[in-house]
Amino acid sequence: MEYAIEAQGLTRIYQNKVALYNFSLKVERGKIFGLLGPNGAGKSTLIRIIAGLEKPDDGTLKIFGSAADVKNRKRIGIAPQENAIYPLLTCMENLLYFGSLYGVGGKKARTRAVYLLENLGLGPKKDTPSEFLSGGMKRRLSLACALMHKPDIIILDEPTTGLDPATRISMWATLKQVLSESKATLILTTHYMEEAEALCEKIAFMNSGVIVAEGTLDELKKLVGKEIAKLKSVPGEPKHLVEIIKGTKGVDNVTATEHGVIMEGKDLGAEMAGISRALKDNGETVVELSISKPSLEDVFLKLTGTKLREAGKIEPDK
Amino acid sequence: MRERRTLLLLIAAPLLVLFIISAIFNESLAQKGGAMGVCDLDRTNASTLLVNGIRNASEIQDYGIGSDCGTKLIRDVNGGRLSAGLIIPNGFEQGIQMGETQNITLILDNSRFQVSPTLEAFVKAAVQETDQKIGESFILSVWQKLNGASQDLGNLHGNINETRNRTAAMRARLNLTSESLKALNISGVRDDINLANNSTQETRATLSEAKDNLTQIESNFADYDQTLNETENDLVQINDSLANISGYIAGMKAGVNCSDPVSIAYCLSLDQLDAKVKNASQTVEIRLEKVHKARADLIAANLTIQIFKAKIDAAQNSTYEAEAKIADLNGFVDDLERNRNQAIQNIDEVKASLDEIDGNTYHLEDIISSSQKQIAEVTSRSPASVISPMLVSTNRIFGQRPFFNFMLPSLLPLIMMFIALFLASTSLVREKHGGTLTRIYAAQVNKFEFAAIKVISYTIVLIPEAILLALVASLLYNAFPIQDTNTWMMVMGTMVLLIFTFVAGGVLIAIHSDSESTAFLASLVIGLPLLFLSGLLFPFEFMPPVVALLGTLMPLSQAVIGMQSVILYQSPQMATSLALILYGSIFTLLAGASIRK
Repeated sequence: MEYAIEAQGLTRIYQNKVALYNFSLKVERGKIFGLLGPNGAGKSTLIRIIAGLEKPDDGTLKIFGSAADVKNRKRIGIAPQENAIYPLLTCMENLLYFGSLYGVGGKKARTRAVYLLENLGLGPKKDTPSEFLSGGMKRRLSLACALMHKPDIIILDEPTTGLDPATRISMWATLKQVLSESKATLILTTHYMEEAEALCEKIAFMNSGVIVAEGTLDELKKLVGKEIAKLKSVPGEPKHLVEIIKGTKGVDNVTATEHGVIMEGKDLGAEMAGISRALKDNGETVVELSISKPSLEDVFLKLTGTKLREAGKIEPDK
Repeated sequence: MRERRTLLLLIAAPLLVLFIISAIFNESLAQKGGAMGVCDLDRTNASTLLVNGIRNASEIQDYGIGSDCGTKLIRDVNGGRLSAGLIIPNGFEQGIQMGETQNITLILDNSRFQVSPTLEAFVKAAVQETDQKIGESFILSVWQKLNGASQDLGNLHGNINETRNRTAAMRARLNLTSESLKALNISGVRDDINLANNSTQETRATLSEAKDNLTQIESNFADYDQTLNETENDLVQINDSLANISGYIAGMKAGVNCSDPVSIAYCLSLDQLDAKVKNASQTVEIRLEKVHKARADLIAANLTIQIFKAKIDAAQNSTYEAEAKIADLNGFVDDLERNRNQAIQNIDEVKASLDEIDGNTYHLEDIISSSQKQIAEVTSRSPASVISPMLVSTNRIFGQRPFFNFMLPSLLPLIMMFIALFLASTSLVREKHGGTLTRIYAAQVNKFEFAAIKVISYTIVLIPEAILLALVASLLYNAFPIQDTNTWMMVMGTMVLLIFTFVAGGVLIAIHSDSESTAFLASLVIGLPLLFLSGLLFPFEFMPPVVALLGTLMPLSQAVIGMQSVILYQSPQMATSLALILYGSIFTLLAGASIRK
């Protein structure tokens, strides 16, 4: 099997912070690979190393089977977290400029730009300065910029962050369309589990510079496998809650999180009355309770003890 | 504040500014005024005194004494290579000595507004000091001359006293001479004496003769007395005869009646006869009285003769005495002659004294003449030339142009420096944050190529700004003529180079900055020291040599020097352009090398 990306033992240490540690990853060609993880998990560092923006302190990286170098990195198209477009330039100018960086120029560039603009729904805006575009349009333009040179690997860092749900869904459709046409490999990072679920064929959960779980959507969900109940009570000291709930009938596993506890079990809904009673007897008042089938979020929460959505705004890597 | 570099810059910036300013002003306050060119064509004590006076306050650049040193000096001042120049003309000292106020010209580059007043003040102070020294020297020489004159006059005073004494002595001698000369008619005297002597002898002979005559008269008188005696006897006898006749007549009448008419006639005849006889007797009486009288007179005459004779004897004796006196007189004349000789000797001495006095008068004349000459020499000088033997006229090469015109060549690079630094650094950092830079880096663009393209693109972006600034400088502030294409080209060339340099600096800053605030602060931290060291606020001449050298080498300083050379001096300096190109290239290379991949 040909891998678009093969990372082996990548380590990147900043002054007093380990961004990546002995990190290994293989991304199959033509697949959509999602990187999920909280802030500081090392996603952006990994992307920067893949894009050639940083060098690892240790480890190797191969792109399409060859050691990463200038030549094969030119096969990568990247759309950073930010829109990464020049606001004063028109859509067309932005595309022509970024195309030129990859040696795409002249009529070919213009044709490609028109094509991308039309396909991404920016045709009517081709001569509009990008500062006047909506958030979604800017994202699409940023994506178009990354696609100007017909890359074999597309890296999208938080492609839909900050977009409203409708625009986000539209963006997903656009991405799917682009990928179906280009047959490129897509690596994306996201906070949105539903985005990963909607787009990614394979997902890696990252935390503290290492992969904590990797696999397809199903493979990951199987890590949780049962119903999950999230419970929040007052005063709600997590360790105390775990002590109370552990051993309760129907609860296979209790995990303390910073937001309460997560319980796993086969039929938690039926057992909830008994659990509530036990809590009440121990001075806890349940204020929030939800029972759901496991999602990626649940998997992540279970694996890392942290909610991805509440990981906060992603700051640029230093 | 979590950004370490920003925090570091915030802490470092004030300290850096403090260190730079302390480095600039770390030397004593006895600031130098910068290099001043001197073309001393006179090379005399006075000119050296002036030059040394200036040297105490300012560095001197000696332009030698060649005939073209003045031209070279003026060219260098006009070309901005020298802040000021002083030309001391040939004949400078001689003119001062002749009492002519010497006008020396200070050629001043008044575009160096921080330095030029100081240099002018230094020169004026040096001129004043030299004036004072020359004035003191002159007054001292006047004092010496006056002292000499006073000494001469003192000597003159002694000479006058001596002359006066001599004159008094001369006068005394002349008096003596006069006295002597008064009695000087010696020959006359001698003649008179001889004459007197002869007269005395003649007198004595005459007296002897007179005495003989008197003796003869006396003898005659004796004869005459005898005659008188005989006459008297005769007269007495006659008188007696007449008395007898009168008795006979009286007897003849006595018996006659004379009243009888016959007798009357008789009687009358008798009376007549008697009357006749009585008359005759009366005549005889008278004659007798006369004889008596004659005899008395004769006796008196004889007595007189005796007296005469005695007198003649006395006179004769006197003549002897006179002879003796004349003999004495001859002795006197001899004395007189001696006196005369003495007087002649005295006169000779007086002549000698007069010759000496005459000589002294020539000496006095010399002294007076010398004193007059010295006084004339002193007084011929105008008071102004004594008080100010030198006058400095300042030739400001830029005339009375507005102060702002001199600032513009520094302000334009300064403004452009900050604009270029801020624009390049913050824009590039913004690109970092905007993600475009990530995209560009990801495109595997050669980092040096990327840095160069960024520098060039920002430089091009700033060129309209430079043109606008140059237009404003030209149109509003008359920094240079709008129609002067050559200057325009040079100004724009310099502007483009400095923009290139500082854009490259800004790109370098941006590469190392994580945020716009860091980039902004870093630009300030770099820009402010460059400003302080550019010579705009604190002139190089006031800085310690090492700091001044460093300051001069700084890119902003090079840009300022280049702009000044173009706008003010119309003599573009290739060195500054090359320096800016070098700086810009180094910054670009450093920026490229600093890009992390």
